[in-house]
Amino acid sequence: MGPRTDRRDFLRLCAAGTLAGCSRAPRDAPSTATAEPYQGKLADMVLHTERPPNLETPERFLAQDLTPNDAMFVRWHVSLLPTSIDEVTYRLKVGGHVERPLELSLSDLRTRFPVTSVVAVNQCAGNGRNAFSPRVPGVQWGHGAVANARWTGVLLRDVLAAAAPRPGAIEVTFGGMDRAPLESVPRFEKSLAMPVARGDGPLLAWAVNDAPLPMLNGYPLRLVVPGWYSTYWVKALEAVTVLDHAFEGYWMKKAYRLPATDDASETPGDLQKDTVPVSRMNVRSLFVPPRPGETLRHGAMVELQGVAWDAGTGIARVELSYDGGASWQDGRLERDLGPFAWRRWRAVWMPTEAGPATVLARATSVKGERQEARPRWNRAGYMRNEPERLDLVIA
Amino acid sequence: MSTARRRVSFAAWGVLLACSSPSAAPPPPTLHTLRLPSEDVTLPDLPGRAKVTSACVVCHTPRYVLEQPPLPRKTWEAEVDKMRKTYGAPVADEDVPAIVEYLVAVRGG
Repeated sequence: MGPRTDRRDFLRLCAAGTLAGCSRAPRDAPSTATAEPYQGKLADMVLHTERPPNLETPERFLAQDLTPNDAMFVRWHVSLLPTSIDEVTYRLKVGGHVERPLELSLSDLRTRFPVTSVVAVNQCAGNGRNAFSPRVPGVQWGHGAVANARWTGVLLRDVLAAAAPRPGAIEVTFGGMDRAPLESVPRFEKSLAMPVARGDGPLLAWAVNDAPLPMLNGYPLRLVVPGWYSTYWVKALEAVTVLDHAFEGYWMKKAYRLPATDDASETPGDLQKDTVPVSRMNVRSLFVPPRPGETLRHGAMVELQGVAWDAGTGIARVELSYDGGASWQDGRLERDLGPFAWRRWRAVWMPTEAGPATVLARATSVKGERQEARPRWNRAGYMRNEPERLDLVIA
Repeated sequence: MSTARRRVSFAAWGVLLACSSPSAAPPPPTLHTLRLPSEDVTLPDLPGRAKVTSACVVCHTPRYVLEQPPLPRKTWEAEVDKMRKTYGAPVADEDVPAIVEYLVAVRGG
């Protein structure tokens, strides 16, 4: 874009998708790439750990509507993943406190129940953990423990109905095929209360973005709970078990817990004794380009881009502040892919003064939940959603 | 100490994980398999490394240590305690101090 191009021309260029002229520097390469690509994954997935594999979505995919399967983040808790699954002999066991225990093949699922799809954000509760201060232990996710994708399967409630839960059924557990090398490590199992399990949202999904789930993302079947953190989206699902009592498993009762305070925060010197399980996502927005520390030209238009999402009401607005939060201007929301999807946003800004500059972004959901500037902390580093801050240099 | 660092390879894990179906017949086309890359992780050569390696790597890559930010000693003590009591990590009481010292030396803060 030439220096004489006016703002209207710039917007027209951007609206037409002709972004080559926009003032954007190349994005940084991830700091850690995998030495050898993981099966079905790009070579520049951000490696956190190899065993079990924990890989982060490269940031450039956070400005796209749908996250491709080969860029989708990977998160496992225990290290013996299923390595060989025959789609013909695989069976999902549905049992427990039910009248009709079932063993369902993928073909049974496809043919016996209505097939449906949802575009939904899959986000680790610890996404952004590396920004907590003071720092907390755990996988040090940046922004990329998140993906937005189209999930296809059948409604959990339809499958439960076929199994006919008995009176007194209050909870449903979901067990994966993954195992730890030591028997003493609790199996990865999560649970949903019966009203949630029987709700409109949860799916038993075999496809993502119209392709079979990658092995690393839970082939052959995973639970999808739109609006809830991905700890519930149990991968390589082998058992759905209805209970007439509260589930006491480790991954519900000890792990993935939040302080039972209004905003899920506590302080290092005063850890809350009362905790509750992680559940629905809070509202959050991300910047993609430009990148922190980038140098922009004084007097030149720059395009800011990102995504925003909440737990399923949808995004009402994304606002940008160029003065440290004193005033806010609306960004433009892009295509709406559904209430559980993320929504891309764009904003155009012309820096007028040289020197360091800070841009903030905050999202507000349709139900009115807004990202707030006060710092929130909890010992496990969950649910980060402070407005994102982008420090830049204007030359 | 960097020249004294010893490369610890856990390639055997990748082989172990990839060999769940040792049948001689060709696999059916409906079989979906996963092969994981081998591990190649170097832990700093400081006192206690052997104990850390034998206590931790049965369940996870030693990169879990290097992945952590600088953490206070009491946080590391709590992590070791959790690994032993909650997950059953095979660590004798007398080895705990050396393991904590190593973790603090590598990722203390």
